[in-house]
Amino acid sequence: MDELAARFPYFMIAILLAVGVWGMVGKRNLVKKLIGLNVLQSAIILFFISGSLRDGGTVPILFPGEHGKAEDFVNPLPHVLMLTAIVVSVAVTAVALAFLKRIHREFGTVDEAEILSEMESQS
Amino acid sequence: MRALCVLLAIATAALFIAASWHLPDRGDPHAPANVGVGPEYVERTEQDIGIENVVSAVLADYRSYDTLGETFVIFTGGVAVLFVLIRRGRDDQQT
Amino acid sequence: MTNRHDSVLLHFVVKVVMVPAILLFGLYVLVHGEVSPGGGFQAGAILAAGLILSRMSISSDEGRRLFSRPRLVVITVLGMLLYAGTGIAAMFSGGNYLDYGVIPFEWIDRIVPGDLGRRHIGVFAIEVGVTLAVFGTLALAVDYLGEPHEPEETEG
Repeated sequence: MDELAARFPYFMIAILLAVGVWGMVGKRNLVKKLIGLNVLQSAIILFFISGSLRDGGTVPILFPGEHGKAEDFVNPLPHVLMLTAIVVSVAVTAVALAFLKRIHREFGTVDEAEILSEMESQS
Repeated sequence: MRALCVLLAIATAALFIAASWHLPDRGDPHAPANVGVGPEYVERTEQDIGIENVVSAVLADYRSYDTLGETFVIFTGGVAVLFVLIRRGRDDQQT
Repeated sequence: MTNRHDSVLLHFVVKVVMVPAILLFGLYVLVHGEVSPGGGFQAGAILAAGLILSRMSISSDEGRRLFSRPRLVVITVLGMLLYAGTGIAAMFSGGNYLDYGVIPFEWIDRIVPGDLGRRHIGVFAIEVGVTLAVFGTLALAVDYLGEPHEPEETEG
C-alpha cells in the first residue's frame, strides 16, 4: 500500500496526459482541442510540483529573521518554474482563442472538417 | 479513426508510466531534484535578499532575467491578440 | 458586453460587494508578496478578474471608460518599462543589470533602512511592474475576445 501511495502522483498524471492527448488528437472541434492542450499543460505542471515535495517539508516561506534549513521546506525551484509556466500557458491560451475567433469570423465554424471543406471549396 | 486516437492516448500514458518507473518516490528527500540548487535558495535567501517568501525571492531576484523574459512573453501574447482581432477603421469610431 | 441582465440586486452585489473586495484582495496579494504566498503574477490576475467581472455584469460604461483599450496598452507598457527601468537603474552605479543591491537612490535609505533595503525596493518595484503588465494584458485580451460577433461584411 505504501508502494502504491509513493507512486500515486505518477499514475494520476499519466491519466491526465492521456485525457489531454485524446482531447488534442481525437476531437474535431478546435475549442475542445484547446481544452485538451490546457489539460496536458496541467499534467506537466502537476508533475513538476509533485517532484518538489519533500517529506516533512512545509511551504517555503521563512519567519522574519529565521535562517532557513533546507530539510524543513519543500524545494522552491519547481514552484517558481511552474509559476512562469502557468503564465506562458495563459498567454498561449489567449493567442489561441484569438485565432479561433478569427477563424470563426472567416469561416463561421470551428469544426476542423467543415473548415477544410470550406477552404477546398474556396480555392 | 477514433480507436486509433484512444490507442495513442493510452500509449502516451503507458510511455509516461514506463518512464516514471525509476523516478524517485513521492516526497523522497534525496531525490535528485531536491539536492541541487533548490536547498541552496532556501538557506541563502535570508542573508542574500532578506525577504521571507523564498519563491518571491527566487522569482524576483535570483532569476529575475527569467521573469523579465516571462513578462515579455505575456506582453507579446497581448499584442498578438490585439493584432489578430483588431478591425481596421472600426475601433477608432468605437472608442 | 451585454445589457440583458440589468437588475438592482446584480448591480448592488457586483458594485458594492464583489468588485471592491476582489480589487482590495489583489492589492493585498501584491503588497504582501514578499512575506506571504503571492506576488506580481497572482495580483495581476486577481485585479484583472475584478475588472472583467464588472465589465461582464454591469452595463454602465464607467469601467470601460476608465480602462479603455488604449489605456490598457499604456498600462502594460508602463509595467514593462518599470521592470526594465529598475534593472537599468542598477547599472548607473556600476552594478549588473537587475542587481538591486546597488540602486543609486539615496531616499531609499530613509524608507527601508539596512543593507538589504534596496533589494526590498527593487523586488517590490519589479513586482509592481509585473502586476501592471499582467493586468493590462489579461484585461485587453478578454476585452478583445469578448466583443460580440458581427460579420465583417455588414460593416462595409
